[in-house]
Amino acid sequence: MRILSLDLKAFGPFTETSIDLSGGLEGLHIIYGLNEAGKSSALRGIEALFYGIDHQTRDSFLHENRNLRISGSIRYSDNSELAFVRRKGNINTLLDPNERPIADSVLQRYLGSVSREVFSTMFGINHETLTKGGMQLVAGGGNLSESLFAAGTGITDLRSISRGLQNEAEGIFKPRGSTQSINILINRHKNAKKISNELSLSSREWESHEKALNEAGAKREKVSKRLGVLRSDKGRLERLKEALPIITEKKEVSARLEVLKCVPLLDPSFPDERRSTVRELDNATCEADKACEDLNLIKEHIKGLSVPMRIIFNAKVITEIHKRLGSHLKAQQDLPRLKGEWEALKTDAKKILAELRPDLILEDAERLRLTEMKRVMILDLGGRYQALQDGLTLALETLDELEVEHTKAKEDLGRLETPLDISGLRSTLRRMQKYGDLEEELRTASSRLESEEKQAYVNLRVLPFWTGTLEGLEALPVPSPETIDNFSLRFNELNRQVEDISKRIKENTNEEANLDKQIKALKIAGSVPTEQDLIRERQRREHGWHLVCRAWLENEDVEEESKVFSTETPLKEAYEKSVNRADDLADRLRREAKRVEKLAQLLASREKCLEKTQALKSEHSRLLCEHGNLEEEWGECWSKVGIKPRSPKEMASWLRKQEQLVSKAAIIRERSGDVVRIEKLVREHNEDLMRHLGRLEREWLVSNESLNSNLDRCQTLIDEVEEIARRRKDIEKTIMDLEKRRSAAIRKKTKAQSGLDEWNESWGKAVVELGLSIEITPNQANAFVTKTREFLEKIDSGDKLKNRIEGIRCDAEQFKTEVKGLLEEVAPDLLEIGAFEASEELNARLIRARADNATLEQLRKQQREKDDVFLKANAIIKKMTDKLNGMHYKAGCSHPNDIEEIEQKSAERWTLENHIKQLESQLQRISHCGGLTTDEIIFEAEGLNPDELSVRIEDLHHTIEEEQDLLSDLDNTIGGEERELRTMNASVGAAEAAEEAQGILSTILTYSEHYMRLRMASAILNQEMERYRRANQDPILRRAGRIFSELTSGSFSGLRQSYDDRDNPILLGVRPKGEDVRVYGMSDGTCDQLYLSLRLASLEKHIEETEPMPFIVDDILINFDNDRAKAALRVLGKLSKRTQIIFFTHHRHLIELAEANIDAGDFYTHNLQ
Amino acid sequence: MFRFLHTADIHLDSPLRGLERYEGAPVDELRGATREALRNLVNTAISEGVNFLLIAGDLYDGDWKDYQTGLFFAKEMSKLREAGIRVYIVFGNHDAASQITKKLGNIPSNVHHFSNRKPKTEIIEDLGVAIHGQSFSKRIVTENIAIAYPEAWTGYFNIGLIHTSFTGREGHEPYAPCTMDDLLSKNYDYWALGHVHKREVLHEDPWIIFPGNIQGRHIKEPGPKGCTLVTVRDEGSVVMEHRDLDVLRWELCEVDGSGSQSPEEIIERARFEIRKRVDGNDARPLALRVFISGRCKAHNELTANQERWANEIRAASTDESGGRVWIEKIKINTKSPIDLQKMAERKDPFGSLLRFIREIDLSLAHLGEPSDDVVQIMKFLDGDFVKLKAKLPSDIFQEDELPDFQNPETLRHMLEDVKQMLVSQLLSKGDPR
Repeated sequence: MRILSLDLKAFGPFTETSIDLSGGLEGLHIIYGLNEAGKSSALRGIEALFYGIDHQTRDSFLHENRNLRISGSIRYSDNSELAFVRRKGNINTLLDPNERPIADSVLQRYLGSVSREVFSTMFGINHETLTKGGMQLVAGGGNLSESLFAAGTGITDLRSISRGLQNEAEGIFKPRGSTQSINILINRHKNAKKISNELSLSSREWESHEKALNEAGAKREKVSKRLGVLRSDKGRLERLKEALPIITEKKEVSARLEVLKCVPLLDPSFPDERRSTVRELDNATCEADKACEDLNLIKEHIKGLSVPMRIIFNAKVITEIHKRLGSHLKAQQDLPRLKGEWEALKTDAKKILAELRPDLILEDAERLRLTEMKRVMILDLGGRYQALQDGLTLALETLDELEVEHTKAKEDLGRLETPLDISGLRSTLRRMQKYGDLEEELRTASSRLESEEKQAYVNLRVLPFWTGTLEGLEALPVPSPETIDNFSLRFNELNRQVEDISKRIKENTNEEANLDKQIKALKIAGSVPTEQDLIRERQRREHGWHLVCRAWLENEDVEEESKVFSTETPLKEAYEKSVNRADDLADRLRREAKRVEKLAQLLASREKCLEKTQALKSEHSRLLCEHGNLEEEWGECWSKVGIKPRSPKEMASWLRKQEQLVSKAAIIRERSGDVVRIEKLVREHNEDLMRHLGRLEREWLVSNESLNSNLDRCQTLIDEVEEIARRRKDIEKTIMDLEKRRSAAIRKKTKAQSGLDEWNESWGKAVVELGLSIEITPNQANAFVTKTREFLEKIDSGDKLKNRIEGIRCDAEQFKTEVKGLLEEVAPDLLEIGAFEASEELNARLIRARADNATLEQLRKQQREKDDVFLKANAIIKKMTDKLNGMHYKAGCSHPNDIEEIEQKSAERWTLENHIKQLESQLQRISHCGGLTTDEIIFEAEGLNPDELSVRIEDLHHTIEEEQDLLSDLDNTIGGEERELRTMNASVGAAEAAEEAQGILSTILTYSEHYMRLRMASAILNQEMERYRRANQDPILRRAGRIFSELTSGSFSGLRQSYDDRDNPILLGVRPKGEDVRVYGMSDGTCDQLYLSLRLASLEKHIEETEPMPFIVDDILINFDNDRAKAALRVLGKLSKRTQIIFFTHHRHLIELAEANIDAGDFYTHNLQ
Repeated sequence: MFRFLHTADIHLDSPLRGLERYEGAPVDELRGATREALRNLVNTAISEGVNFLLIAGDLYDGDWKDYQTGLFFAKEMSKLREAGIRVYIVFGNHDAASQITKKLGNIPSNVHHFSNRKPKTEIIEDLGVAIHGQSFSKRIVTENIAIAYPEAWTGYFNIGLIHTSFTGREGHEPYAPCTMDDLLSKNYDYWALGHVHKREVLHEDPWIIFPGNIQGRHIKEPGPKGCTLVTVRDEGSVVMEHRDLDVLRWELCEVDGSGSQSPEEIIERARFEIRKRVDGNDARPLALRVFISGRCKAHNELTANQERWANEIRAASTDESGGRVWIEKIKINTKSPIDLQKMAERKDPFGSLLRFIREIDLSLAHLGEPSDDVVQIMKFLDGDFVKLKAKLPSDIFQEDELPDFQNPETLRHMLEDVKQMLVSQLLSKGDPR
């Protein structure tokens, strides 16, 4: 399957971005984009197209989730094609181009059964997975099964997964471990079981304790029975011991009592009682005598007193009359004054009446009296009159004022003009205000543009080598900085080499001169024979000898040659000379061997030196030539630009300037775009304003005015129109208000008028009843009423006085009659004198009679008391005498003088009898304690020896103590056993510990199951890797070897399989010379390339067998040098004939590399910008 | 009218099984659950005012030796004595094996246990009841003891008290087997059976009942547990009701994880399911086994970090139930959203792996001659298991706690888990994004 087109309609930063991936057999598509250009989004887009947009996608920052859309068309190997759209969602996310849902199964056919995870793992590679894959190769020591499986699946973490399974299992259990989870739990389980066993109670233990308890209980019962018997014995003896002295004492006392047997047993209080009787008798006799004397005295006093009883009986009447006497006297004094006052009142009344109603006399006064109701009504009516009158006046005035105001407001309204409809203008204005001050913005933008342009112009002028325009500069195909750097490096390198060579030539020349100097010095000291000299001399000698031989032996004519041999001397001599010379030379050579050697050395050195200089010079000229070439190349590099370049350094600086200018040009374009945009806005705004004003029929706006002043004017217009509208509204409101108030005033006026009419009617009725005319005013009526009241008060006061005078007279008559009646009854002697005087006298007589009567009463009371005393004393005398006689008889006393002796003896008898009783009760207590009667104990005590008794008690005491100790021991035993059994009573400890053990067991179980799962997973994975290796190693290694060799530019020739120390198959790199290299001997980069080789080889193998899927490559060549990158691109190019490869990168030079190294038809470039 | 309680299989002080302890588990609340359940039994007997109590065997747990357990039983029975309630016991297979049963010296006088030599009859004269019963004499009784039970007594309400596996019940030893006819032929009015832990009414008129045990002790004993309350009216009608006595109830809790995007979503669903069970159980503590199933995206993360998510679920359950739920086990049976069937058809390493797993499965199911590779894996696993087994405490092999990893069926079951685990690990970690 391959992708024909990828349309990122709305996804990540893309909107309607289409990438045509249909080129090529399958096609190597290089998608280029700088950072931030959306390369990653496009990458995710491919996966999203096939498998749906992630639930929590990162690509919805520009387009809302529901708007996200990716569409694409794909082609299956059978040439069937599918075009579809993917949207984000949960169901029906797959749509046809018309956005109708299509079934997932339709797409499934194209995807084979490649799931999303497999697609991203197996058919995707990025820089991270590449390096990770390389690292894992090293970490695994090139383990072949692991490496092949990892490359086959694309799983870079394979090693850590397989190790993870192993490590986790080892953390859970190890047969000999102690810190693993299961191992720890086994120990804990053992402990819990141990605790359970320890806490567990065996039935035997329980039985033994129970038995011990029962035995101790039985023993205790026996001892306690014995103890009871002993204690009772001891008690009996102790009681007897206590009783013995008491019995003895009792016998003695009985004997003494026998003597007093015939003495009467008198009560112990008898003597005291007798003495007090005698004392009482004496006292009573004295008292009787004294009372008799007092009675005689009182009787005499009574005889001397006489009291007038009639006066006493009428005392109440007398006192009453005397009291009334005072008031009668006062009334008689007041009478004349009262009469005078009465007369005066009558006169005043008459006067007033004459004023009010001359037609009436005093006796008719009652006709003038008004009821209170009527009076109040008149006053009330009078009061209301003024209020009603005022109300009416006010209403009329208000009405007048309102009329005037209303007319005025109507006039004002008429004067105001009708407001214009400015809503359109207003909204336009509001919209324009949102843009801010556009003219200011325009000015700023223009001035910025101008300043940028100026700056650019100046920079352009000072930029060397370039006289053209800025646009021309921008379009220049200048070489990249990397190229310049490269040249710079190469120039520097060349220059450095040239310099180096020159320096070395110079050094050599110096050395040469030095050597010459030494040779010369040697020669100056005397010629130095050399081997060459000797050889030459010997050759000459040989030549001479040859000539001699020819002449001598063969008789040849050697004349001519001899001349050549020696011009001066004949051959014979010359030969001889030459023999000598050669011998001499040989001798000298031997003699001056050191100097000869030295010279030889120097000469040899000089020779070498010369050779070296020669070589250096030729290298020098070669370098110069190379420099020339480089300069030519450098020049050529700039030829497209049309500039003769200076040094790379200068050109680099020029390039920087040029780049600055280019970027400046972009800014200028942007700025001028801004200016045009703002200008357009200003123009549009002005036109809008014109249109609105035209509609408002205002023509004073001139379009060439500035936008701001036009805006101001429009604003002013709006303000004016709004002001007028506001004023109209105010006035209309005022008019409405006035009309409301006017109708209220009319209502008030009508109400006031009707009130006044009602009043007039009531008033007429009221005054006529008073006998007054209707015209009378309320004030006058008030004055009449007040005066009438005054008149009637006077009449009333006069009547009261008249009644009083009559009362005084009647009272005086009554008094006199009563006094006379009284006197006739109690004191006729006083009838002769006046009533008032007689009354006074009668009162004095009453006071005297009352005093005498009180004295008499007192005396009679004293007499009665004394009679009482006398009678009581006599009664006591009789009673005491009788009592005394009785006592004497009781004591058997014939004579009163014997009585005291008898009393003494009786007391003694009492004491003895009491003592006996006491002793008996003691005995009784003792005997009863022992359960015996007194007689029994006395009987038992008979014949007992008290001393023996003490010894027996002491013995018993010791025996009891011993038994008690035994009992207490038994109690302890019982308590202990009971305690023991209580602790055993149904405690749950052992069961709880067993429960805990069970809990641990459960955890062990869980861990064990997990352990086995992990072991199984681990075993299956390892075995499967091995299986995969066996099945695939040969073809993959062969193919991967070839790719590896290509990727490493021949640094390796291939790959092969070998075995490590543990016989595990491993992977080896093979050098061209046959040398093996293990993966840890390879550099990081080489490992990456090895991993890539394995991946690509696996992929190739895979597509041989099944439908291909596009292979997504994300910038994997970052760390490849140019050669290896070239090689990789070539490999990918070849692979792309069999499966589609989509290569994402943000490295421009990779495209250049591809362009330079791959046939144009083998790859396609797409730019994401 | 009279009433009695029929109970069996108390297994006093036998521990609850399968409950891993973890932070937040209601360990303290559930200590001594079987004792608590027995207390509930005694309280029910007293509060319902029953006349007597029948225990149809397996009062104790076979190999449990702690005499404290016997003392506890005696203490509880003495409460019944005070309330005037008589107790009749036949001993079951566990009691016959128990040391405690042999020393029943201090059992209160109201408790009567039947002879193990031959069936005997106990008469309750005042109620007109005849109880026939026989205890187990040894742990394994394979003969039919019901046959020898006496004929019904005329004029009495006849009860047969017997510990039996009846015609055989799954998960229970076939002790003292008998048939329906055997029992019906005795003309008894009520058969009180014990031995089978699941509540079951075998026959009505006369009633033949297994009351089940009074406290579930592991996940294979789920649901309500208790005793049977029987009321016999004067006119002879017999009414039967169940009374729950358990203090902890075992239940399964299935969580459907289908379509969940993240493990957190699964936790939420589990929380919801747990809540439902807590609400439906009137605040009684629960022991839940949680099954998570369904094809979902969360599968990868769940299987990759099982321990972490198990802890999350436990924490959620503690939170949701106020510490009243004990998560017994969490079984993650989710499936990867990837169609493994289709994937297995692919000619790539993933497909090859899945095909290999299928091959192992087929060999385990004896459907194919195992290849060398499969044999090697089996050998490897066998070795691991032998080493593990040698170290584990022997208790874990009783009651079939630990699966037998030498059994092909067990391995097949595990293989499915392993497949899910491997696929999720390989594909989640291999993701280059």
